[in-house]
Amino acid sequence: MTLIEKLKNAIIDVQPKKAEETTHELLTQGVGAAEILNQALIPGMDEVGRLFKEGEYYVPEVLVAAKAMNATLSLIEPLLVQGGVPRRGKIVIGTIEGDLHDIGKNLVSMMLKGAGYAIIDLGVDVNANQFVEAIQNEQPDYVAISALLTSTMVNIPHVIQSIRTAGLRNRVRVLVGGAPLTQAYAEEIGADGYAPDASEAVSLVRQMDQARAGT
Amino acid sequence: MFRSQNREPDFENLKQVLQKKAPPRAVLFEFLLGENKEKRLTGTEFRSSSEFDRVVTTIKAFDSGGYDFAPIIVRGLVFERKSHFVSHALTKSLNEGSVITDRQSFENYAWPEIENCDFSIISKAASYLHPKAKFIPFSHDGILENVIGIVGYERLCLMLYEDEPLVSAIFFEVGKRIHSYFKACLSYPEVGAVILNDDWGFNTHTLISPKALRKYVFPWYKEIVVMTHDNGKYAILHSCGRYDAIIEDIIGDMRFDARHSYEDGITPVEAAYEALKGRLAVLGGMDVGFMARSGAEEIYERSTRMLRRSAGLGGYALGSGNSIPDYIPDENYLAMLQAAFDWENREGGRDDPN
Ligand code: B12
Repeated sequence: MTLIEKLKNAIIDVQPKKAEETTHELLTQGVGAAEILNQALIPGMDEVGRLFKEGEYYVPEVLVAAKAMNATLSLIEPLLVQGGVPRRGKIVIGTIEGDLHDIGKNLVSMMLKGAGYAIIDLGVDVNANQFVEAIQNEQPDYVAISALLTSTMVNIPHVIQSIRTAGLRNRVRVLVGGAPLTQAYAEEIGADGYAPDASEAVSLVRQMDQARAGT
Repeated sequence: MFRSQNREPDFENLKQVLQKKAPPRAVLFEFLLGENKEKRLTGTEFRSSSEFDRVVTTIKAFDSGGYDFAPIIVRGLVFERKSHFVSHALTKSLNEGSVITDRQSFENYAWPEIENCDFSIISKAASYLHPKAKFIPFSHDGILENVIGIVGYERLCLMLYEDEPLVSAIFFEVGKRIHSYFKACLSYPEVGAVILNDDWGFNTHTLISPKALRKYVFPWYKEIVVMTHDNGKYAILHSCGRYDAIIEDIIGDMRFDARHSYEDGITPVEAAYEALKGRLAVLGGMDVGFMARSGAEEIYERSTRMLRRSAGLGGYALGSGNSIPDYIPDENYLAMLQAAFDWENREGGRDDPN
């Protein structure tokens, strides 16, 4: 087994210590950060996402795998920046105003981070102005909004409206998700995408990337 | 009073449902009503200045709404957690607790004691209960919920991998207290059933793996259900989220009589009823999002259809998929109650020939 495979497996087998050690080994051997990211980290997290989707893994497994991913990422991130390796895209994420629920949002963040995206996490209880400000400052490709209750979900259209009013609507894609949301609701409020779980959120963003690249 | 005079509360009706039989008239079930809904149901009789007032108000609200029971909680068993309060926020984070982070904080944790609970409130409040109605006690969160509360969800997830003996010890401390709580409740003759309330899942999965649930959580509930049955009473599970991976545990292993909480995004109650009828009573199920966002007429129709579906077979009580929070408009909630009231007048509770 190559060291790259060993690292990938450490992520899939949810072993943060092993992931960290193996990353050190890889770096000592002069393996590039981009290769570590693309050959081990992203495919490793993809497999974790697949296992979650298939019902083999539960949130604890995903979180420990994400810990392994973060152990690697914190070592290679400075090198990625130094080397000018571009990230796949930037995503601003937050839980909607009035809602303090963050487990779902955090999982989505982790999986997207594991798929190579830069994540700007605005936290919970984020209002329309804060989303708009973050879009202006961060220039993300996507804005992802999470909601737990029907009573807070109804604040999402206000955010979309504010983005439109600020003249930013065609600069970002708006993704929505969380327990009470559905594809139909996402369409009704004019969001660009909905995903039922964190691993599908990654597939969705990838599909949208491809669609954008194709246009 | 919203119910008619001749729709008298009688726990026997709900008992039929819990026995998976067809009740003589439409039966209603709810776990929690928002404060404004209790106001609406009790009118000028609404009181909330003391704990006893609140208990009596709930009894009156459930009587007025046409239920055969009143839920009751005995205060005192609160597992203290940190929580930062954001006044305008409508939800709270599952991560905010984190009081127990390691062995040391576990050893130092001030566990609530069952002696803090004054169970005599059950017999005192019983004088306000309709003579044929019964109480259904529930606890301040369930075993998994309380462990998540004091450890924090993400920390618990990591701890399952990093310090399994500590996880075991925490579940033990919480589990034995919830067990004692229900043991005390069950000794009261005014109690007809218990609601064991513990959210185990979300849209797509259980919150921790079924394997972990079987190890840390289910054995306690199994014991509580046995104790409930030994007392000649009924055990209702209130647990949200996806449940297909654990349904056999719920029916076959823990032997619950009924399950409450259904969501359209997981398994709509109609499908749940078809899958579970005869094995487990199905309570409620009118999806909360549906009740919040549909018109009263749609709610009335869906409720009526559900009553019709279950009429000959039984084992069903009409209610929401989770609770009636105040963001469900009053008229939508009342439309569901009306469907139950009209059912016996219109269709006599019998199977509709159509
Ligand atoms: C645990 C829980 C609670 C806990 C904690 C809630 C909290 N605020 O953290 C407690 C017991 C306190 C609770 C209370 C209540 N709850 Co609650 N609760 C849940 C439960 C069981 C799980 C939520 C959870 O932690 N999920 C775990 C994470 C991992 O899942 P997730 O958030 O769904 O995220 C995943 C996906 O949705 C997606 N995703 C999430 N965000 C995003 C964003 C984007 C952009 C994308 C693409 C994807 C995505 O990816 C994630 C991972 O795969 C849900 C049931 C459910 N089906 O979810 C009910 C639920 C949310 N609760 C509900 C209700 C009604 C309540 C109460 C109002 C009950 C009451 N009457 O008091 C209160 C409100 C309390 C409050 N003020 O906060 C209802 C809401 C119904 C509705 N449509 O409005 C639900 C759906 C249950 C039901 N049976 O209907 N609840």
